[in-house]
Amino acid sequence: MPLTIALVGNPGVGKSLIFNHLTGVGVEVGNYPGSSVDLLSGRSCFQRERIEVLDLPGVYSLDDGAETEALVRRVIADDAVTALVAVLDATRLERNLYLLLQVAEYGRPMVAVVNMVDEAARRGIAVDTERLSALLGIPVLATSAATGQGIDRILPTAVLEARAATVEVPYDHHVEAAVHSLARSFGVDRRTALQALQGLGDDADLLDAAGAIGEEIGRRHRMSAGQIITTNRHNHAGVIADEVVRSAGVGVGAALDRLLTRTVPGVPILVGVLMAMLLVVFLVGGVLEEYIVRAFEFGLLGPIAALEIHPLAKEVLRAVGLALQSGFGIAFPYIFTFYILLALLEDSGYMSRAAFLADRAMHRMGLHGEAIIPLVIGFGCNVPALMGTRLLATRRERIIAAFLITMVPCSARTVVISGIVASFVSLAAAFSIYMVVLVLIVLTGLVLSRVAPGPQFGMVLEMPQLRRPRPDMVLLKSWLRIKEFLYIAMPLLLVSSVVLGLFGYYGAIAAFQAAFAPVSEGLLGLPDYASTALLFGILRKEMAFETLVVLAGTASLDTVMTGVQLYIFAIVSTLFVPCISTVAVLRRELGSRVAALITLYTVGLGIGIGALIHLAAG
Amino acid sequence: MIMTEPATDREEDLLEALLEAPGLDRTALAARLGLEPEVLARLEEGAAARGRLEPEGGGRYRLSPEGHGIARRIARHHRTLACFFEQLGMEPDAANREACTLEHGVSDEAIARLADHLRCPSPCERPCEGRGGADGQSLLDYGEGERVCITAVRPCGRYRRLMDMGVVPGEEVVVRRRLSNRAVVIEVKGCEIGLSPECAATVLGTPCP
Repeated sequence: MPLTIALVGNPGVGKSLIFNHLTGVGVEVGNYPGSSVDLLSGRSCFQRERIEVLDLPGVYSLDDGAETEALVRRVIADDAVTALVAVLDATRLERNLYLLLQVAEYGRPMVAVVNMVDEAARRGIAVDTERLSALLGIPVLATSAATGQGIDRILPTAVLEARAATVEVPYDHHVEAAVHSLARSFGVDRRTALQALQGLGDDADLLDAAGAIGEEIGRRHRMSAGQIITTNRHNHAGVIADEVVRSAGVGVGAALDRLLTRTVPGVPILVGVLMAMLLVVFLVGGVLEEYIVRAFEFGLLGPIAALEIHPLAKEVLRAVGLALQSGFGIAFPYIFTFYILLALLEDSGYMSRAAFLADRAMHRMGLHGEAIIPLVIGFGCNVPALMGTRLLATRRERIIAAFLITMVPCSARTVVISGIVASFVSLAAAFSIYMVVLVLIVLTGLVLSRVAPGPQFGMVLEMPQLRRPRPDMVLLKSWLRIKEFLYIAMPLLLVSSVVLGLFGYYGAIAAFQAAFAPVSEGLLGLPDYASTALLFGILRKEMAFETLVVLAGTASLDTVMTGVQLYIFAIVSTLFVPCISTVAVLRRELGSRVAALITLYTVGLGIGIGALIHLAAG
Repeated sequence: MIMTEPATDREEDLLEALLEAPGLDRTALAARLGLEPEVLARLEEGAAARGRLEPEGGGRYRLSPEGHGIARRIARHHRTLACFFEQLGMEPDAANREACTLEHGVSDEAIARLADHLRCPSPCERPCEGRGGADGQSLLDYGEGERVCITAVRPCGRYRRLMDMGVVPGEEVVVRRRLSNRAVVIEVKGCEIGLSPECAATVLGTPCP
């Protein structure tokens, strides 16, 4: 069994950067057995031994009922993990120690890494790592993932020197008595008893007893057992931090922040920023894509067409070539451009301001402001956006957000809109499609929040300080995201492209075309081959455009279809049925029923809106 | 030893108290049950004779496995009934007193059906209502730059996340900014966190001296 080390820490402490330093290539996105939360794993080497490195999702606490926290708890308790590396942010040591104290209670071998020491030094904060090591009873390293300082010592220390922490939180004596009693009556350890007092665990009897004791403690303290435990931990983290942190307290100006977080001019700025983002992606993507498509045409598809081999083999090869061409033609020009802009916004700390600005509007759609983050990510690709809905508090909110996200025009749909409408109708018409979709998204949200009313729990978000984005962090973040896209979407693209190629080869497409012609011609007023193009769009959205060109027999679409027809085609293919990768992720995240419901809704919506425009245009 | 004899109401109260408040000394236990110390002693001896308590030394008793089972059953009755009365609009204290009386006579089946019917929410699934109270004003009522000593965080809404971020009773926080939409940014433990109005309303505090 290979040695395994797991990185655990708060969100935004530089875990991913450390992970990237440690592993380099060969990163996999996978699921931990029995969980749908993604876990990044990569390989590294130390003293000729292979080491598996896990990057756990960032959490603030282990004692939260959410799925992400449950996953982190399971990995921490897993004996297959050789050592835990607790990553701390030197600039926010106290709050980070709170999580570390919880991890320490598992008694697993661990080391602590105080990261961002360079940033801390700039702000006049110094951390005494030797003293911290003595207080915690584990090795403590000082690192800066941004500069690479101290990173090379993480693996040797974790492999050779990790040990169980000796630090112990002194809990309130009523809590201690309760823990003692539960541990004795049920034969469980201290940590399990503490979690049971907070309502966590699988043993119904234990939870029942702990609930009764907890309630009594709550009555006497006018604070729940969970609150007391949390407070005790925070206090102990505070005591430790006081001993090891020296701070000169350098203040930071907040003038810009004030400007960005007021309704005026905050909201207009937010709208402007989002519009500008889309416009840049639209323009830059269009130009770059052309180069990439042409390069593939000359370098790959041309040579394949010239090959003298069996037609079936040639068809398969051509399908693979096409998939690569369109995959890269979208991935880099559109998605990568989008991800760079998104990372710029995130790294500057603007996104959490945006969440608060959008909070009131989001309430009307049954969501909170933080849902704006996955919605914006959806403009790049719906798949990671759906995975991003995990940060939402309730399943109800996740379902509403999923409905809305699948309607957000992703990069592939941008290709359809720009390739068909912007090229052959007008740029204004292309933008009107975005507007129509946006209005539909808002209407859907308004209806859903009525259909499925639920309580508003509010939003608690960390507000990182506004700062100039660091180019290396922006590139790294975009690269990690695009890598995820390539790993998840590319294989699906290849398979579906080959399947389509085979369908075409064996004549199955013509049969479908005949069957679907009434809807296409009667309802939408489109030529019969357009239905086939729409069908292909289910597999890969941008294929709708390519197929249309192939079936129409000309790249000058305006010679065979009217402007209205092109407009209807683009809007229907944008709205109807999320692509197959999106449906797969929907199913995994929210179950088959929700996936089916959303798919049906979008089919109905797409065809309905298309038919309406057809009617209106006479 | 007669195992089948049903426990009396008093005995059930004793077992419940031992479950909910382990480690109480005898005087406190007697006061909690409203009994004279001699009566308590007799009650304990009786329960021990029926196998529901085990001597722990020093004249003290602890729950036997059977006693534990009874205590848990009664505690569950109590919680379900109290929740029911609170949902009917009774004050929590009154609901508790009522539950104390009824918890002994009610059947397990009735409780199970009542619990199913009520689906008593765990505290963190309750949305929050109201603002302010005996513990001071909510964060919504403080201006920028004011220092606030947290006195209570209502156990509702996203309170788990708030607590994990360090917003706990006794903590001193500073109101940094007030955003659009009445949201509040506070500084706690050297970090700035933003709270939407629903959440800010659940955090109560008094001005720091």
